[in-house]
Amino acid sequence: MFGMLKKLSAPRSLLFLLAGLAVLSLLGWLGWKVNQLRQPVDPTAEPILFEYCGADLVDFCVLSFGRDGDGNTIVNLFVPEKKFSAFYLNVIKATGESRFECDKSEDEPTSVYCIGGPVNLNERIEIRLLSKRGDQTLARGRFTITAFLISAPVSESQPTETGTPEAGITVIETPTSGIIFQGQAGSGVSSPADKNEPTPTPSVTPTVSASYPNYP
Amino acid sequence: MALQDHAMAVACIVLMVFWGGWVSYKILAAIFKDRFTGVEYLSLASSAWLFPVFFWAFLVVLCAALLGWNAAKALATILILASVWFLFQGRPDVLFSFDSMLLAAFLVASLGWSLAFLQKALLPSYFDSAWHYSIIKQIQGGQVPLTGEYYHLGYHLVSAALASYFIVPVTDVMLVLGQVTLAILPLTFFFPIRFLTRSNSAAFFVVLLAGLGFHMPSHLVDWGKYPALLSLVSIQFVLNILLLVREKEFRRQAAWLAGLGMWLSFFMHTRSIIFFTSFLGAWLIASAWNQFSSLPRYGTPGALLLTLAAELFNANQSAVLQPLLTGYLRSDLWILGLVLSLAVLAFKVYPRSFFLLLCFLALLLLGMLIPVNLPAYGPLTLLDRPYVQGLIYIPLSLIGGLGHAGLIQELCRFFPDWKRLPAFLGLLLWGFVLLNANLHHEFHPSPCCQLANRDDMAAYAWMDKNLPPHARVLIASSGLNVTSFETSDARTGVDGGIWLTPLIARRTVLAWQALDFDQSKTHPQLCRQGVDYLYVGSMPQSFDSARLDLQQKLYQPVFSLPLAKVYRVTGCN
Repeated sequence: MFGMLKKLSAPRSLLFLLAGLAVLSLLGWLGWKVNQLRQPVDPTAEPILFEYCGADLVDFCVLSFGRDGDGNTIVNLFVPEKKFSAFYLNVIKATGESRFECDKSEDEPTSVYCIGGPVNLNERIEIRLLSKRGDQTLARGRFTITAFLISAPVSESQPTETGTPEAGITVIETPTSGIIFQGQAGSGVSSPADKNEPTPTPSVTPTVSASYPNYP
Repeated sequence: MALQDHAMAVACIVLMVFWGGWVSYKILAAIFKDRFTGVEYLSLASSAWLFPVFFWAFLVVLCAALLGWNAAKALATILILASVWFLFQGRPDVLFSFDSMLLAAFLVASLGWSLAFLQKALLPSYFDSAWHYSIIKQIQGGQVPLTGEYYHLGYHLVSAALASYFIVPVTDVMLVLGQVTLAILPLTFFFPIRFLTRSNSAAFFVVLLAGLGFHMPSHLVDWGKYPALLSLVSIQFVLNILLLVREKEFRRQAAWLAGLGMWLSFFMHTRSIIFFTSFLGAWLIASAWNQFSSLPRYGTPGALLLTLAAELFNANQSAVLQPLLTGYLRSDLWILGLVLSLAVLAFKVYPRSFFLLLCFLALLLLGMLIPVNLPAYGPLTLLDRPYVQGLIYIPLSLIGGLGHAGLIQELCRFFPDWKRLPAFLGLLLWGFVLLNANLHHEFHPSPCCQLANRDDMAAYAWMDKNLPPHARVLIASSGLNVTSFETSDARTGVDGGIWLTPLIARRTVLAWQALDFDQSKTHPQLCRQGVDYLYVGSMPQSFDSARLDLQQKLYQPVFSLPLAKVYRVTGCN
């Protein structure tokens, strides 16, 4: 017994043991993940209650409300990865129901936006998340939309350029694919040589603010 | 985002970094044999993991460009499997000691706090990241950008190979590789201090100091300066290996390895060559200083301190360079105080090494002030401010380590009976660094530099679906100011608009962020230049959406979320 322990505690055996354990853990984790994904949604399960997102994004929640050009309502959602399969929203208002189709960001699958009929300000609504397969209600939450358009917050910690250029547009086009090779210092920026048209000179020279700021 | 969403990328990249470290250890052990202890080898290997990973990535990308990704993936697997036989040769027991286990435990903890960054990271930060992302995607697509104006290719080759081989999103690879690199970097500081002082306590202290003491290098990821971060690994390797050049037995091997390290650094970040030039210059000056007689020997450090003060004063006068000082003074004041106190003892006990580091610091700052004019890039300086800011934690940490060792030596001289003094002192100083980190260190992405948020992500997805492929989108920009000599025409995106081209392949047109949409000239000019849409992000320097909302006949809002808006430019005909 002691001999075996001694053999196992030899550095080479220990190394193999650790490597084996690491591989087994990885396989176990993958197996658990696959099993989790295969589990069918329980049709009798109570729908999850959701609300506005807090500071930490963990559970399914509403990030923001907005509008598109046709007056439709946009709901921006945080959806934990692989939490729900294909779904749509059913928005229930006092005047009736409206179906919202959802689309997710390819680069950030947890970011999902849904678009549907108009919702008035201060109107109380119930949002239901339904699976496309079987129309089963997976989650629901009640909201009152108090504002659609909130101006972008302006932080005081970062100085903004105070000049008001007359019309300082420079045509520096980025190609539809690939990269800008005319950049400077490898930083994805434009350089004067890239202009396609002459740049109007700003009427007021903007104050210089350093790029790459420190912590606010 | 939950940390588990990055689990695959974390597992794969950690595995590759460990593989790189292991291969490096075997090669280094074959060269230097019993010259070093296990913990010293561990530290050296921590600074050398990039070599095997880079060569692996280089071969994989080359194979992909010639034969396609399937062949490249097969080659990648063969290379790793072939190395496994080599890895299990010889005696690994030299690595197993209490000290090396302690250093490994630090690495585990370091990985823990470095990966915490991922919890709140959506996309890699700042405009640099969008640029790096585009290049990596291009390499994945089989093209290698080799134009004269592009450099730092090493980072992109490594990222492209990792993303393609493990089938992990590029953004994940960028984020995770950055954090894993950050986690390992402090370990590389163990070797030089252990080598110079023979003190484990001081060596462990410098590891902690380099990992948690300063806002750098962790703030580099907030700037998307991933090539600079990766170059720090090879820079540390070169610094470590250069110490061995003094040993006759290993001089030739060390010189070769240092040369290889410099080449790799250059490939990761071209300006690292200025770093090495400064270091070698400091080395020569320090060697000459060592020969001085007593008066100039003590006068020169004084003159050097005055030079440093003049450089710092000069930097403080420039709005572009000032953040270098404010960065360290605001975030690292307590640690700077500690390092300054320890510097006195570093000078007393290790005068030559201290003088070299001081000289090196002065040369690094000088590099930021010396103008150069390169035809392709216009007026620049030898080193830019962000890079210098990211580099000077290296000499500062090393001075702290030397000072710690000096303090132990001096106290042991005065109190020879206090055997536990080094351990007690070590704990005291570690506690100080940990307390400071708890109070001042940022473990999450800084809001200064997160250009894209979740509303931006929704906007990208909507635009991808609803905007024609050839739509031209106006985005806000500001001047790029990293040296004192840039022309005001160099500019860069300031908000989520910077990601439109890399992520959804829409053309962008840069405009000053303070563009006045009320001006009668603005709209016709936008029409003339074929701008179809405007993008308004959530950064302080984004376009003013309130102004645009007042002119809905000309700028029709087509997508509005609180932190991301898209306007269609109408009435151009």
